[in-house]
Amino acid sequence: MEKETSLSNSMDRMVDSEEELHNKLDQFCEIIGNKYDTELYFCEILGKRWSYIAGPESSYLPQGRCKVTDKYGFMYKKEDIDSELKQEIKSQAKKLIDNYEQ
Amino acid sequence: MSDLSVKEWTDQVIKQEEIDKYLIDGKDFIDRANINQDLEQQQDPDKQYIRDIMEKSLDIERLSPEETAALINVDNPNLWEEMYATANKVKEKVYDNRIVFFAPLYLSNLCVNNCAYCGFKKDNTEEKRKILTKEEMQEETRVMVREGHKRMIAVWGEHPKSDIDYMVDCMKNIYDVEEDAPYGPGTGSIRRININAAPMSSEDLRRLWEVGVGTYQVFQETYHKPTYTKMHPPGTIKGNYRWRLYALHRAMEAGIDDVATGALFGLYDWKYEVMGLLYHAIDLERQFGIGPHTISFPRLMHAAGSKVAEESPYLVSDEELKKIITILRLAVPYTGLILTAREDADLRDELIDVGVTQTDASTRIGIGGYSDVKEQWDRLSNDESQQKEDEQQFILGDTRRLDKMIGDLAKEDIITSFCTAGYRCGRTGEKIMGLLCNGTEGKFCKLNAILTYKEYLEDYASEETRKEGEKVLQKELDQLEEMEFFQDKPEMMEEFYNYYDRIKNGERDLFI
Repeated sequence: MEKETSLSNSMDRMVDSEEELHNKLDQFCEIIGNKYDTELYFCEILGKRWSYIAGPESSYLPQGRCKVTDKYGFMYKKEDIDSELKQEIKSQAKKLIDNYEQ
Repeated sequence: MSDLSVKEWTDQVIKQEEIDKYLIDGKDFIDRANINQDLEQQQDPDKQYIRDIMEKSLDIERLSPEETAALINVDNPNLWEEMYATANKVKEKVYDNRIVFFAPLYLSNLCVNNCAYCGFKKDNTEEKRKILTKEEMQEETRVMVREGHKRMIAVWGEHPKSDIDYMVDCMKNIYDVEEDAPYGPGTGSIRRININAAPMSSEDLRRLWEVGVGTYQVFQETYHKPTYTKMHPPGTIKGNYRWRLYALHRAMEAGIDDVATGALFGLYDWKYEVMGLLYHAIDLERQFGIGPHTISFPRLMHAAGSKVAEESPYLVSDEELKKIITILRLAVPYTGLILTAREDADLRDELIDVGVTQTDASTRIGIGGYSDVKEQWDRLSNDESQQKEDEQQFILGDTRRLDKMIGDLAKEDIITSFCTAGYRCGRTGEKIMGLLCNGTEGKFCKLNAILTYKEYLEDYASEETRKEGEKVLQKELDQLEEMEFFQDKPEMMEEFYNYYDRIKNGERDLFI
């Protein structure tokens, strides 16, 4: 739970910022990456295609896929992110995306 | 489907501003004088220079026009043998021993154009015209899926009845199809639709992007402008050379980051066309940071209602085709190379060794061609059915079915991959190019190739193919154990073996 609370605090400021969604998601990935020593990146969902939009263009490839909204999802390293943390990241990302799309 | 008349529709297709914006000082990227000069100045190249160029290819660097022209001008047969071997090494470095299979689906042969060499040309009254309904295209897809296909290239003639609305509907209808596998417990579907369609505006391309297009493929046919004009009558849409030349640029701008080019070899001098393809790749790199995802090199074939294939002075021999593929493999090492069933079986098997990465099987190119053979295919596992000249764009050289081809390739230790993971994990365009060039993507592809090959063998392979395929799988699994890249990734390997076991136990569509 400690992880979730601090993650939530870190994200709140970003949700309200005026930046473009891609920039926000880049920052989001950076925060998560630094905090949990892992990698994730965001994709736009277009039919069956998941198209990269934000996050590190790393040489290491994540193995998990999490759909956040009908239009966006993220890829992550399964060994670093358990299901509880995945849910928390998903919920924070959803807040960010929903806020942007309003 | 458009409500406009054919003429009204035709008149509004080309948007001049969507050509002009890519020109530099009013010029396009094909400079005839430059290409001729490149080819002229690199005559009789020094042996060591050629070997240095091959080293550059092995470092997965795209070659310059001068270097490519030097390769084209090699005459020494021994040096060619070295080049064939190096092309194979480059392929193995980027793509390993894998081959990716797809099949085309021709949805309509209605066409407003009048290309001299094409069976679909509007003046060809011998051609039986047809456009598939939703039910028909889904039935075609079911037959393809029952063969084991996961990738399709959808093809349309250019016509208001097969406009962007129709294409988008086709893609949705095809993606909706699910079909039980004939042997194993799997339910198959098309996981990636690539398309071969006429050049269109950025606005229309964006719509293809939004429904999940894979690769957008447009062949320039010939980069030699006078020949282009001769083959594609002025006044038709296809008669506009530059509208076609910048089709892939518009696609990139619309967000489609996997684009594919090609030339129809046999219309003009093959040496010029190879240079044209290279300049195309260079201009895409310059304007968008990445080159083409794949390059194709179809040879001119006989088509109903056309004498071009019989009369062209530029027809390409088998030996020249092998040289073309080798040069392209060396010149644009990161790109996929597609060889199709136009070529006959023996030649295809030989050419795969010099750098081909994708090919097709169980290919039917008549409109409704798969439904025509469904009953025969259900009855006879090795049936290679007859073709219908009056319903096809051209005549195929190799009608082997997927099962047979996979079995044949397994005997050569080549693994077939049905992987579409990159497309479904955000690894496309610039992202995948970087990974391809540093060799990383190839490693992940190896894992996904094994997983999808296992799926195929369980669900679709005949007893004989399964037996050969299992031997290939075992070799691949043994290789993984020895590869340094995977030795420091124990969690990933654990996940991989977990997926492999789950597939054996009936789960499907698991990928790394």
